Amino acid sequence: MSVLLDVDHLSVRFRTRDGDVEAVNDLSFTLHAGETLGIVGESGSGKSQTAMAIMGLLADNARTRGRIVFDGQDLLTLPERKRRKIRGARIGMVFQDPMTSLNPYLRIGLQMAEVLETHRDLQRDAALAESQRMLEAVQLADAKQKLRAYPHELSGGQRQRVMVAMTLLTQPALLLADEPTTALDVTVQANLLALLADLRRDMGVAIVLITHDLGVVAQVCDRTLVLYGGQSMELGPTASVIGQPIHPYTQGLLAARPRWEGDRTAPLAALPGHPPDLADLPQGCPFAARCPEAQAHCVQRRSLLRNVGDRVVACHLRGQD
Amino acid sequence: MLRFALSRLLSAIPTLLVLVVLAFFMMRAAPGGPFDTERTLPPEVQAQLEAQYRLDLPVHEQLWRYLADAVRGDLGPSFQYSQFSVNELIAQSFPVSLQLGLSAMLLALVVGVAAGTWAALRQNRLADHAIMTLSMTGISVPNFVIAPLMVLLFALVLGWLPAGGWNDGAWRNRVMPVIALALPQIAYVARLTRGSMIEVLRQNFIRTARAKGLSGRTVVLRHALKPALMPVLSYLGPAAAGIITGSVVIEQIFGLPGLGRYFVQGALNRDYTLVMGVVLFYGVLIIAFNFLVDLLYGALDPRVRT
Repeated sequence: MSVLLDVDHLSVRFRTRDGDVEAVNDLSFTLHAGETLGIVGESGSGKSQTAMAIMGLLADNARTRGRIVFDGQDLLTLPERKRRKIRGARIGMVFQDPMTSLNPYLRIGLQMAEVLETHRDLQRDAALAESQRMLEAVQLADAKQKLRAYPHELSGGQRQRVMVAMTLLTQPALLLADEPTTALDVTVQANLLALLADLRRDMGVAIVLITHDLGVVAQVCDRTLVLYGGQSMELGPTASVIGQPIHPYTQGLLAARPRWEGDRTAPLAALPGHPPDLADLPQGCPFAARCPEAQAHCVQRRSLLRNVGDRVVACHLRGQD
Repeated sequence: MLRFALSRLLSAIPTLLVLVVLAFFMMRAAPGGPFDTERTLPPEVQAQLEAQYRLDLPVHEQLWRYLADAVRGDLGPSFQYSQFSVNELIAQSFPVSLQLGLSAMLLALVVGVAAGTWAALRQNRLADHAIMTLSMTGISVPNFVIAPLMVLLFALVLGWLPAGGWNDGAWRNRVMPVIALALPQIAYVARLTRGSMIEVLRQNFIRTARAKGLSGRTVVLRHALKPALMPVLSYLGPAAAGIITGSVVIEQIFGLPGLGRYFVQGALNRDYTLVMGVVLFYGVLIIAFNFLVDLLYGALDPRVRT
């Protein structure tokens, strides 16, 4: 399979009055056509900003380094006019909160149709007909009436289906989904994940699924990238990353998952401490302050990425021969 | 919907009643009376005038009769312009004020919204600071200062526009009064629009619109403008009141035959019926306008409509 997206040494910094904030730091990963990559991390780990960098929707005070090569073009050096042709057409994005991500003042039909009017030069009628077909494809009941509805007339799950349908109208090669199920009920969440899996199979769209929920990743992702403090900690096939985590942070994350089996009255295991301050990152491994195995050199030097078996890990203590 | 309209109409009645009663007593509390002149009138003439205008009746009787007439739409005879009824004076002068007021309102909306939107899109840059400084000036400098300065510059120094008069509504005579009336409203609308536009542009649905690859123009005009205008819409009621208040001063400065001018003349002459009539008329106008704004609000926001 061909490489669709190649994120190569990407760094994203925000200039603020109180100094620079390093949201993403020297991040590299690739994505093949039709593949699903899960990006896992706590809030502030840089997962959303990575997606925004790929979309080209970073805030004005952001500075980027590195390359984001999509379909052979470096998105970071592409002029805005050309970038807009890719954004929403070849790369689509679904956001976390379906309640606020649709415009409350416009009908669903218009919000969907304008995508096709912009990228496919369709007339309103044709665009609406196509939108209806897509709503049916994501199994939304009464698709025709839904086109005339306003967002507040739909439930959260329905709105997220609309968001997904809207994003898929142009048959993008890449779908970025930023916490798409976080705001939904558990059953609705399961339905939506099943839908994403179906769409990937039927339309061959590659998906970057951003989440803090390891269960979601285990369910749908081929490979998993674990981020911490804007840096890659561990990247590899989902089964191995979740089955036999190597990095101490990944191990800590998995230990902190609530479980059904065993003693349910026992307190949840938690990682002690807080994620690092991105405006003042430590010079060593960002996880060193919370790492149960940390040693002196962890605090002093950044850990390089190393190949360990089927994955890439950033840890001084792992992968040494 | 019908229930809403009815309840609004009913709640207007006590408001107007309080307004009229207040105006009634304030006029009578003001020193002097409508027929005070340099020379004292012969007692029989004085008595005859007072009888003609019901001033000989006890005060509560005067008020009661006035209200009874007003309910039937009769605002009584003017004390000063004795050959006209107050209804006639209003009918004659209101069209002038209405034309000026609506033009000023339109100007304030168009210029204010455009300037506010532009400032929001250039947030914290030069254009933003320039627009906000100008609008702060527009809000803080009163129109009775601005208007004479405009006359000085455009009429006396440059000679581009007439200094005053209505001239049957020739456009050159309207330019300065309309701008002077609109300026504080432009300033206020611009600040309001800027604030709400900045707020709306931070919303998630704007991020979605951008993520769809829409042009910046479509994002602003189609997705951001309508929600950003909602606070401006709520301000239209107060804006109408502001323009009415402004017109009282502006019509006086430019010597325009509008309702505001009669209001000032009436107050100076202790023309009881004229002042109360105009107060009542303004009251009805502002209530009706606010009602219209509420209807419009419902029509524009789908979440209110249902």
